[in-house]
Amino acid sequence: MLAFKLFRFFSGFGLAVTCLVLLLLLTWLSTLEQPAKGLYEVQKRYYDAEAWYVVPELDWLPKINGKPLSIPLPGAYLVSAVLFVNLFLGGIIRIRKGWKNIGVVISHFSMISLLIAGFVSHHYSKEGIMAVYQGDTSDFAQSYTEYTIEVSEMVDGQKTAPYVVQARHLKALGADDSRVFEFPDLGFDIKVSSWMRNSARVKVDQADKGKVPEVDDWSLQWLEVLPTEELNMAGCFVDVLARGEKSKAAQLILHGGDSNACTVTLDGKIYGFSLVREIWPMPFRVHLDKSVGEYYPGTTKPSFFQSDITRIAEGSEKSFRIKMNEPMRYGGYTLYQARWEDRGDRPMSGFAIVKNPSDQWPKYSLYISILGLTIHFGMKLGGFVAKSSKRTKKEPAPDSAKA
Amino acid sequence: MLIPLARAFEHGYCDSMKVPCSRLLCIAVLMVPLLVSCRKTEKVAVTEQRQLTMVDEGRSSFIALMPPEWRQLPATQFRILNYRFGEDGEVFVGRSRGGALPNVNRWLGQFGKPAIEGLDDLPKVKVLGEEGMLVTASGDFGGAMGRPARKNAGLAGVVVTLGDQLLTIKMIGDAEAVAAEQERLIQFSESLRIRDAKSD
Repeated sequence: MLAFKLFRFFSGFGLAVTCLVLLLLLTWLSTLEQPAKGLYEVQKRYYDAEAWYVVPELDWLPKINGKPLSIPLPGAYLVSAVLFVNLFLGGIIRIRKGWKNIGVVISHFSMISLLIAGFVSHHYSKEGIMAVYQGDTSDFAQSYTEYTIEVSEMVDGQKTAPYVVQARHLKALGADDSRVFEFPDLGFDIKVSSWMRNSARVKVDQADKGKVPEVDDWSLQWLEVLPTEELNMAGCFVDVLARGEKSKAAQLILHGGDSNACTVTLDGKIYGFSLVREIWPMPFRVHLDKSVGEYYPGTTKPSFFQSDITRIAEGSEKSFRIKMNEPMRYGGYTLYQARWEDRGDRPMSGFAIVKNPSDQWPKYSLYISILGLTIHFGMKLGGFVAKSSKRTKKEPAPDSAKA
Repeated sequence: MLIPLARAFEHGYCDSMKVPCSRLLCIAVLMVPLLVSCRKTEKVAVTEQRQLTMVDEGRSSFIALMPPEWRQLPATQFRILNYRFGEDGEVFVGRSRGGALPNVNRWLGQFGKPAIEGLDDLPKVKVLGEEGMLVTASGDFGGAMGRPARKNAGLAGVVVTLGDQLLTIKMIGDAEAVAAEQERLIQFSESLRIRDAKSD
């Protein structure tokens, strides 16, 4: 029966070992690739949900006819998904039940919960950085890498709550792709094209003539993508399409390095358009009271840093000291210091902010695992001790026999 | 679906094989779509709005009421505020040093106009509570600061002394277009406000 064979295969020990070996191999290869390709690129290629397979690109791999050997491997996400199914079927369903195996079942459950924590973290966690200068206050974090397009009406020279084109829609665009984004509440649409992951805003005389559009004497130039994704400056062209009209109302260049928005006036209203790293409003404000740190001698790499902050939330203020490995947790957010700089007139603290629903799950999984293994090995030890004492009773010691 | 699972758990693998096997496979198959994130579509409706934060106050130290006829461009190293109007007209706000009169004469020199002796005769514009001078010129622009020379060009600019610095608001473009926009430039200059400090 096919279903039976499939069940045996997916719940089998062989599949578990294969998955674990593949995960080990993928971790090793991705670590080796990371210095050349960068963390972001490697994570995307090896660990993304959409990375069904990966072909390692390493210089030392043997070459065949001058071309590097390409060995496709399944992506880590896919392997983890198969391992999850395998552990569930084999370690929970198929395993022989009974008090003797309860510890093993608990241990398998801990591994499953660890994989679930990874799944939840991969899809639902969010991370950004809040940079605050000493004496300043901030209420937002920004993504390290993800760009969004924000469109907002400008009233009395001030921005109103912006509409946000999410990063996932922009990242999916190739160089020759374009995509229309509709703004039902604003009465116009935009078409985003020529998405550049790394680019420079250049004067038209420096641009590649004819290859990319020119707008108000400016254009964009493609740049090689840098391994450190945070350093890449995205750019794109945006056509503003007034609804009901065939021709575009305006064309704009948006660049990640721009310090303010480009505007277009439609029906007497001024709208601002900007390409920014995703802005993440916080439900609290952080006032940086004091930021202290030290650099390693002769470098700009901090050897030590800590910050005294005041958290302002729900009408109350509370003081904290944040230092290495001592974060502040509030309302599901974890805030830990990740950067420190003292180059200008005031020191700056960079706080990495993470919101991860499964933040503590790996810890709980570990506790479950400890419980399961303790029960299992405790029972084994108990059994061994009991057997030994029985054997001792059956075979009296030579001295007592003599007596 | 959960019943056979529970039964399988209760009875163990051997007893439960007849009932749950196919159903368990169904569960595994059904899980696949959950593990795959959404794919791209051609048109996307954008309705999500983000709440305003301190970053939305902007990096510029000024708040300006831009006329709807202009369009804002990103700031540059020498342009705190940067605008365009019409086909190629430019308006930009910058900081300068060296005194108001030398700067006014430098601007006039770019149009081949003779230098003036003093600023008293220039029309006055109130900018940030200080008295600024309005400078106008037209003719052939000789080119400066990366801009090419052009014929029949116009200039309208406001220079105001703020402490030890100068704030300059300069409009350059086609002579007729600049003349038509001059009133808006004055209103814009008068609307400038200094942004409050971000720190509490």
